[in-house]
Amino acid sequence: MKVLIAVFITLVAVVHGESCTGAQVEAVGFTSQDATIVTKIAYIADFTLSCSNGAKDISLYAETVDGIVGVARSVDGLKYQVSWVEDAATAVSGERPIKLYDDQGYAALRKAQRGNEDTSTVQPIATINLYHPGAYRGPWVQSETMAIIAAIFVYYYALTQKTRLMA
Amino acid sequence: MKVLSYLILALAFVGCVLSEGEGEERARLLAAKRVHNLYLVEGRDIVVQYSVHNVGQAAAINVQLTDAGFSTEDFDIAGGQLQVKFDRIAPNANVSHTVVVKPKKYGYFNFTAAEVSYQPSEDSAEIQIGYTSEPGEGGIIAFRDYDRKFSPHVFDWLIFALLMIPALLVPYMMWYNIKSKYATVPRGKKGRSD
Repeated sequence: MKVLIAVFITLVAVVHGESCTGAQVEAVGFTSQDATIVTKIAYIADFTLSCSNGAKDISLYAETVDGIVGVARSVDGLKYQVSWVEDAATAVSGERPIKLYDDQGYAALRKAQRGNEDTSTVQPIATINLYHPGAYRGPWVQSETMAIIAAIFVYYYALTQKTRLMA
Repeated sequence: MKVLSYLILALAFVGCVLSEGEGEERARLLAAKRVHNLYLVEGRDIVVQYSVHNVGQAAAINVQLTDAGFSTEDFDIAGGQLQVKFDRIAPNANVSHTVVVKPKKYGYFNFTAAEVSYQPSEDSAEIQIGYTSEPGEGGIIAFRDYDRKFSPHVFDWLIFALLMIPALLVPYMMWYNIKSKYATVPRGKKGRSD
């Protein structure tokens, strides 16, 4: 009987609102780390979602720098992807949190936004931290500059010694 | 060096077929494919961004974005997926999708359009197919050529320094030996003869 109820509840949850409880995400992140040839840094988080209530085929929304956007899914519906780009000159490094919402969370969020209420009261079902270690923008000092400085130093040393000798 | 001007936002009108039913609310998607690179280099990142805007009055359902342009023969996928779907795109909303690929070969490559398919309204069974803008042809530079031009050449300069060392060190040692031989003798003051 208990099992039957549990199955029934799961069924109701699946049919009804595609809500996900006890969400677990497994994410793989990718960010561009070489900014010498690209103009924008790509932030990509690929993840899979598993719910403790067994809900499947859930539409997700994510809060990123672009605002709240629909999350892209692979065609089989198993893998999700959140991605955005930022200008290479202004892209910040460090942890970038991505808050995930399901349909109900999204609705609550939109309602809070419309009413100019605090959106932080709406709890995301999961949060991904995408770490960007920073991108390489080329050397600080050109090697030619270093060579010229070294040459000037050698020449200056030789010249001072010579003038001291000749004086 | 031909600087690639890929940022031309040539939006392709995806749902350009005029809707037959007057007053019927339909979704219309505009999709763009952009390459955010200064140079395309063999084995280095190419950032490709797709953005889809819904300019229609209804939400687009089951939007599928497929880019068959990057075959696994010519490209490694560093991040992202080349075939994704969005469950719905609300009117006036936009979504973006990013993929990072690495070319395996150099030479000219034609960046073609990605395909967008969607149901133009909630209760319509027909599937509308459209295409994104085409970034066009771009030259992928061989890594060796790129490196020759843009690397800091640290190794080359080190070899140059090593070659210069004997030419500098030999006269320096000669001078230093003579200096250390005579430097201990204090020099007499100027203008006074012994």
